[in-house]
Amino acid sequence: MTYSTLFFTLAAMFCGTASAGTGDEHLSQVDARANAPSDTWFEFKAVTQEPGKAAREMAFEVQNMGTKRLVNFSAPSDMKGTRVLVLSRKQMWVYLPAYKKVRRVASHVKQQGFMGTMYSDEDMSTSHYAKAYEAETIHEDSNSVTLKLSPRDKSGSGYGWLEMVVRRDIMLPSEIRFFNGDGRHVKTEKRPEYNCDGDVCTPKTMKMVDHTRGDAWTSLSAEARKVNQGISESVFSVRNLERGR
Amino acid sequence: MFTGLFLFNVLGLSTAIAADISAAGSVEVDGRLRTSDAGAGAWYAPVGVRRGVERFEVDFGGQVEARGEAWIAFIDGQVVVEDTSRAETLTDLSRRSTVEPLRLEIDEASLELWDVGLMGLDLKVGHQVVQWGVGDQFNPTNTLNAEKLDDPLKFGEQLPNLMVRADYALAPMWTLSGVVVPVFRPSSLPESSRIGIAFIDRMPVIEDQVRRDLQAKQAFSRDLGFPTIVDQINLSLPEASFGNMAAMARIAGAIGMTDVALSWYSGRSDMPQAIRNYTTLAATPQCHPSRPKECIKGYMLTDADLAFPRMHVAGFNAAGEADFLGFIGAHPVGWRVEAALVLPERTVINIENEALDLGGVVQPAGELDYGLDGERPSVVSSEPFAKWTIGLDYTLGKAVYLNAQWVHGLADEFGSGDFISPDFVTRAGDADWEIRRYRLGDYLVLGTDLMFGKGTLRLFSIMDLTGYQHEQGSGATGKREITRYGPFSKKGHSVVLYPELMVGLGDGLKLSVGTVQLFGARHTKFGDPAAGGDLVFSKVRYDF
Repeated sequence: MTYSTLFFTLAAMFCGTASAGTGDEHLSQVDARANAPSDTWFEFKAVTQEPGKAAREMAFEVQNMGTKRLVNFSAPSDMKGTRVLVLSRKQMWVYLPAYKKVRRVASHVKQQGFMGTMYSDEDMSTSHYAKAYEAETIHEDSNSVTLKLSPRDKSGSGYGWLEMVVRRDIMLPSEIRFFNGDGRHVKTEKRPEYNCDGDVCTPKTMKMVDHTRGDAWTSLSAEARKVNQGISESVFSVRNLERGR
Repeated sequence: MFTGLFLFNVLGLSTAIAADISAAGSVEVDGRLRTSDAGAGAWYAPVGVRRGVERFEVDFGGQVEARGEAWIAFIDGQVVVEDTSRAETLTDLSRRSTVEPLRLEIDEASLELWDVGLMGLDLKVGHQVVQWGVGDQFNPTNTLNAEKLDDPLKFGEQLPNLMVRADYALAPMWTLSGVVVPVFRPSSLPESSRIGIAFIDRMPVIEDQVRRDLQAKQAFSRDLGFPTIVDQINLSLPEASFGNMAAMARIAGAIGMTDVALSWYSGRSDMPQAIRNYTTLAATPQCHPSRPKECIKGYMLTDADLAFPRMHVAGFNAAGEADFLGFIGAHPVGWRVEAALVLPERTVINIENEALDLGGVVQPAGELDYGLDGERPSVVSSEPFAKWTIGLDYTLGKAVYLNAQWVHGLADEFGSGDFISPDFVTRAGDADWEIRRYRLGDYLVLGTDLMFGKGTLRLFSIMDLTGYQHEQGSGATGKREITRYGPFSKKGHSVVLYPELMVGLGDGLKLSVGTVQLFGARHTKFGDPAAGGDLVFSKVRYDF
């Protein structure tokens, strides 16, 4: 071991947990911070703007517990009552009130926009990145760590790789860049602001820009949030998706 | 007294406040033109629908939902402003309700209670639709609600009915359900279905000898100047008794990445079958208004009674995805299988007539001698049969969705008879010939959504792959010569094309235009005039 290597290793150790470790360890820390609350509830307002079109607004509630997520749309009126259940990245169902049917969301549609937004179903169903991606550190500075995330199961992801910029202070992403299989930078998500209460930090706003669609974007603003309410696990069931409780 | 009333009001008010009430509405203008006449029947009994305005209606829809801690009440319906005045007399012109008729349709009025006595046990009562089955629009296992076939652009939809439904969540992905339908409701049919009564040659009788004998008798009376026409059709609806209640049980869940469901239904088919024909004679001579030499001496008037056979249905549903295109880097393809094994009750027909004197040829009053050793002929055999929908779907990029389905047996097809267990239904005929096909047809359903900008172009088609056969009787040998018409032949093809352009204009405003084009000979499934002919349509809808 050279002196310089030893220096950087020690420096990293004394910079705390956030500064040390491999890419996978950093990513595990991100997952741990992002999923620190036992459960969360958000009320989101979404605005989607495509070039040459009027902005579209949506409102929905999201309940999260681990990898599980239940989304319930309340606006616009033609989407009211539409609900989405995510049990894992590969297990996702949608309830369509017009058809009164629950349908499993197939992986071939997961690259399509989630309910007309710039977020794909795959983006919406990813809560634990380390389960889906291998990470390597490609850049570090005093404020952030940039990770390159490569899919563990290439056929199970619509992306070639991701670049995640992680804020060292809270170990949560401030920006995620999405690349397709050809290495083209296709989307960018920014999370400029977090709402922190003790150890629990959740994004206040998120904005996904789709560079393949003339930089069309969707912003998500958390209008209300609740954490650690003790939500029952039974909320995340196909039956509950149908009844919309 | 006043105190009690006050408390009641306060309690009532607090209940109202506790419930979270939300509402939504819509306005839809639905205009359709029929671009060709669709008709049948001879000059003395024509029936059909003419080209022109098929409908021009305005639909004001609304939904109100009241949600409490452990219950939800839901009402969904619409008021439809009809296009055609119902005024028939001068007095009717003084009533706005007849000059400008309105129609109220309630799609749902239900109350759902959650965790009733047991965590995870839900009860839903009221006017509702239970929509089960993984097939897209073709759901042979979804037998609880009757088919809503009055609007051909909305095929696959179901009529609501009064039901009691219980669901129990066994696990996050597993649900056990049971439904009781106290009172039977039949399918609704399109306006053009009445054209079917002109096809008196479409004998429903299964036994060949009886059916051919009836065809010969009809031809004989027609040649004597007394053609047969259908006078009245009477429905024999099952009475509201315990024995006529329908019920269904279902367990649904997921095994790995595959959704599965098993179900059992006990009830009735919602499609009517003929159970009695009664023929009378009307000796009313008349001639063609413009061809005076073309005359008849009268009619053989047939009244038909229709009933709804009992059946049991074992259902199987499965949906998942298969990675058989993975070698080219494609995502897995979605697949679904919905299959129903139907165990029908044998249904027979009683054919009677009054004393008929056809110019000296006398048929005594009474029931026909079928030559079946005292048995009546069948219109539905007790032989079990299967209906299924097998589908694949895939998404290409962000703009193209593809869907293909093999449908074995459409909603209006009932009874054994397909390539597995051959039996046929008569589509046309006369004294010595018939055109027939399997009772249960096979259909290739192809659909694609092409998304661009604000619009989606949906291309949808149904192709009848069953094929038809012409059976010619030989008087000398009694044998039948059979000529087959394949699904791509001139006399055997039958296709629906249904393209639709849908445009989202923003803020809940949507516009769609499209057409339904039917192809095929008159004896085929979709070339049949009773299918209603070609349509063009446009819809404008605003949701708020």
